[in-house]
Amino acid sequence: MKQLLILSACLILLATACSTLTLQPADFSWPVESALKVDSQGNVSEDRYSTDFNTIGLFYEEFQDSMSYKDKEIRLIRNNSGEYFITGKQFKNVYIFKASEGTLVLEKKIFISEFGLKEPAFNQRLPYIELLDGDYQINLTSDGIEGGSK
Amino acid sequence: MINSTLKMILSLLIFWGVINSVFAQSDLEIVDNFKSEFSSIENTIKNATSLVDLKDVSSNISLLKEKYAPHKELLDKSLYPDNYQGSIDKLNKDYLMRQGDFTTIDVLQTEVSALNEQVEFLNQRNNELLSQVRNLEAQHDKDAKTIKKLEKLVAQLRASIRKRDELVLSMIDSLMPPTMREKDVLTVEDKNVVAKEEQEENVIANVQTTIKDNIRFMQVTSLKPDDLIAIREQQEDFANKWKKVGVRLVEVYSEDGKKAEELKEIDELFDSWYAAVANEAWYSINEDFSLNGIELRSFKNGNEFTTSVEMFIGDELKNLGVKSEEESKRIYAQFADSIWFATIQPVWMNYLIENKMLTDENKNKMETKIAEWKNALYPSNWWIYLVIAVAVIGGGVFIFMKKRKSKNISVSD
Repeated sequence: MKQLLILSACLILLATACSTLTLQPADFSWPVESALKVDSQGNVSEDRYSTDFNTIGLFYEEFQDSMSYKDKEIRLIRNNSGEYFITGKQFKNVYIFKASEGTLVLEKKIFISEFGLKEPAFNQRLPYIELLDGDYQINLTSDGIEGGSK
Repeated sequence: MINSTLKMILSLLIFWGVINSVFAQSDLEIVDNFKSEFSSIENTIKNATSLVDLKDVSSNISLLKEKYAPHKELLDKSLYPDNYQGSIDKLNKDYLMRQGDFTTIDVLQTEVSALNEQVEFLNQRNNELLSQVRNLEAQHDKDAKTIKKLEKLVAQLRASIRKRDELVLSMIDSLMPPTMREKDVLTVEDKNVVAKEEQEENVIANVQTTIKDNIRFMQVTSLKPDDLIAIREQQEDFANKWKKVGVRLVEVYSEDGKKAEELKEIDELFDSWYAAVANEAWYSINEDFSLNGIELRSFKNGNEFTTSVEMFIGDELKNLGVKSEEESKRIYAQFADSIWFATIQPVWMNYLIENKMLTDENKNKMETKIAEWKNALYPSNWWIYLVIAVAVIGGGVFIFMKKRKSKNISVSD
């Protein structure tokens, strides 16, 4: 009985030590998207949220051209769970990234249009991210397209 | 039946389209449009040059507020660190402040316009007076009546120029509201306000005319130290006020070559005015000698004046045997009694020394020379008096001794 008590106490201590402190609820959503110009080095910078990253890999993934980032602009928004949604003019896809140790790691690539987006824009429509392109409207989540119209 | 169904489908499609177009608007676009309209109103306020430019601003602010009220929540989140209401309040505050500026400026503009009319009138009057004074000064033989008339005219002219100077100073004051004068750097709209007002009322031209007239006044009149002291004070006052506003005007017109040149000319006119006041004392002193028939070599400073006086006396001393004694004594009397001891010493000497225009050494040199001249004309006969005194004393002693001797003889008898 005494051994059982000691073992239980050890297990409780071990469980407490291993559990991660979690603060909730947390909302990482940006109220409005950012339209960011890509500089000559392929970098974009979002001053309000102090977010900077390089987009050369993104453009290469989209256009298979390492120089395609020149004079381009991307649309960027963050959803409430902290994922970054990125797209741009002539993009066929929306990219969803998650921040991880100084990098943005691709979580999902959502195919939108074979012909490429003309004037894409994101809106924050909790719990979705709304994607607009002219009359085209679609709701996105980190899992993909939620619903939409064309 | 088919028709009504088609109409219904069409209506639904239109409704769906409207709904779609309402919902399918980018939030960023809304925020950007708000920012753009906000900036447009803000710039209208900043760049306004009169109350007229502000007439639509109040209604534009209300329209902006109304138009974006449905997006308040979005704007509150997106306009960080500002928000929707804060932005509207800021526009209203800027509008009221600018309106206040123009109300003050309007009052000042009215003042300046009134002043300008008076300045115009005085400019004309001063020109007439200057012309009359010049004509009277040009007359070689001035009788008592002419001199009195001249003095009266000069006094009128001095008062009139003084009044005009004060008016121009008021215009300078009104040109730049005190708040603008205290600013380290003038904004584009401040510069526009100042430039507009200055151009309308031609303040630079008035300042130039004022200084030029003051110089002309110096040139046509012969003044006394008290007048010069008053003029120096007035000059300092004018120069100080101009210095404060002039620097700002240079800033306003830094890109306008012609105006910058006019401002430079004002600096040069101030230099000429200072020189004219400094020269006026020497001119008036020369005039005093000249009016009494003594023609000295021209002089413009203390050393030249001393040299001139020494040379004149030196020439007179050389001519002592050549000219008649009577003529020499007459010239001395004119020089010493009518000018030097009547005007130069009691009226001018203190002014010249206090204003460092003449040194004590120069003064002593001239006075020694005058004493030397006097001695040459009126030699001192002290030895005759000595001989007479010795003779009188000797005679007295002789008489005393003689009386005493005769008394001693009668006692012994």
